[in-house]
Amino acid sequence: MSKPPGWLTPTLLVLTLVACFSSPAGAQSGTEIRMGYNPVWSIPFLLIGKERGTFEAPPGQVKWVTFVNPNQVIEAMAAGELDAGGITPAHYLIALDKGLKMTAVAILSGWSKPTASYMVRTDSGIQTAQDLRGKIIGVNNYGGVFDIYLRQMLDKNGVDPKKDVKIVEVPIANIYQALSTKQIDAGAVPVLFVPLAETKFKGQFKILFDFADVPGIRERPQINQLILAVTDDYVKKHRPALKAFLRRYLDVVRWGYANPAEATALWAKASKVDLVKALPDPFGPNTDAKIDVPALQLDIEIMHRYGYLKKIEFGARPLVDHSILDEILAGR
Amino acid sequence: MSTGELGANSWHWAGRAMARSYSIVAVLLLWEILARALDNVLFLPGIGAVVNALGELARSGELSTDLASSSWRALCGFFIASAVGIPLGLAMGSFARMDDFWGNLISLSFPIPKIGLIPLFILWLGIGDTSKIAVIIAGAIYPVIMNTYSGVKGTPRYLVWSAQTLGASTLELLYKVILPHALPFIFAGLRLAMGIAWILLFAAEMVAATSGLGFRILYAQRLLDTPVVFASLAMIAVLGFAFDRLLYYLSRYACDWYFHRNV
Repeated sequence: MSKPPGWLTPTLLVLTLVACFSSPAGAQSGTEIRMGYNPVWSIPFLLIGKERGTFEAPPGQVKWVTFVNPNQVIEAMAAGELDAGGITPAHYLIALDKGLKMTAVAILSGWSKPTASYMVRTDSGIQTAQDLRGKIIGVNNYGGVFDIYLRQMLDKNGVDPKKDVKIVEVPIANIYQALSTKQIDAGAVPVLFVPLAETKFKGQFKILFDFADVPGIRERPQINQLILAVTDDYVKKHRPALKAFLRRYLDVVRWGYANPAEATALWAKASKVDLVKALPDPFGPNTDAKIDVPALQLDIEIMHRYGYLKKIEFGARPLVDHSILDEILAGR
Repeated sequence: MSTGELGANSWHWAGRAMARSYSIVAVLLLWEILARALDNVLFLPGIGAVVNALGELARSGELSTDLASSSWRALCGFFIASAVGIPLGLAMGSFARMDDFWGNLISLSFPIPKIGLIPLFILWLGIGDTSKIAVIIAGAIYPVIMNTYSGVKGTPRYLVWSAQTLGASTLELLYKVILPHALPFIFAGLRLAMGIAWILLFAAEMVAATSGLGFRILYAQRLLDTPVVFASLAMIAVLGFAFDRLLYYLSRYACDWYFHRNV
């Protein structure tokens, strides 16, 4: 066999390096917003708008990127691969704690009926939060909203979340399975999965408590289940595009509250979870897409108490930025 | 050996140890230079930040718990994989019927990604240590079987014939001729199995664990605590290295003839 020509190896090396360092998938075009989301998360108006094609036209047109959990959204934003995404307030606060440059600009979901719930087997004998002492509880994400509200509930009921229970991470899709096979004694279930307890698992599970039972949270007129965070870089460079997106988002929110039946049907279609249509109150109170700041401050206090946050102040930067929404609401 | 010769040997080994450390020192230097240039703990913490994180974990007692949990799971899986894999590899290599029965099964199941079996094992065996150890066994057993098999098959025929001529029984043939010849290959398989055990352990501990280095990495990732991620990865590397060296020196002791015969 003859030797390959001398130029071949360096050429292949250069081409490989070029291929490695060019990333067309990651490159942002114009005023596009690269948005992290997942159709089974409780982000009704974002999904309704996506289904209606609301966010397709520039400026502020959305490029949708799917993630398994909100933590990955933050990582992608930190890596410069995403401009915005739906994340839990807990993850947002952890990101601020670590010095990541992002800002919460709108609420994606708050109170609903049912709200996210903590399920147990009906035959488990567990009737109250105190009965969880010595048990194993599954949450989808350490440091997430299910985790911190669980700890708050346990703590206020005299159960030490660090010593008296074992909290394990179990993917949402496996929670009912893990409960059914007795691998966990209780599990946190998001809004869209709550009706499955009745429809698919007929009577096997019951709600032990939900967000509306958690002391400190239940008093709030609004809670922040999922919020929209945007990188500071995008806000600075593409504020008009973000404003255009938020204007359209607010239109979807208002339309959704005015047409709840149609809106939930679209949400069901977008999420492929038909049970959404059966939710008694899918959207909760209308806050014009604004985040509840006192609820966020309560989250800071809870997270700091359980060691998830080192800081309770984040310097001069505001917790949320409603300035764009305020401009839109003022007709500017 | 005289004192002078002992002293000369010690210097020689020290020199060899230093020569083999250059690459690691170079990597550490490069890491520190990059970390300082980036100046972003979230992306690449410096060695100091990682050492601090390790110190915090040690002070809180979490490091010892994690090390104990992970070592227990990895070693359990490794030993069970070895205890099953070596006899099976010996049997497959020595008896055609065993090879006929197991050969295709092993070839078919080998490419299945064992990480993909984690959800199944959790469903069947629960979220405790059993499922995690089962995943490790499922992955680590293959190099043990395959290397043992190769070692057996590589036994020179003339050795077997000579033993048979001298009246060796099947058991004596296995024990006194085939097994010793296959031993270097078995140790090679064990070293591979040890590495695979640590890799699979990490993946298994990312689901429904409350201790262990894999759990610690996942937990730290959730809190964007990159120094702890690095610290836990470093501990996995150190543990894996330590056990690999142990196996290597055991193989040098058990198969001295092999190392002196070859390059």
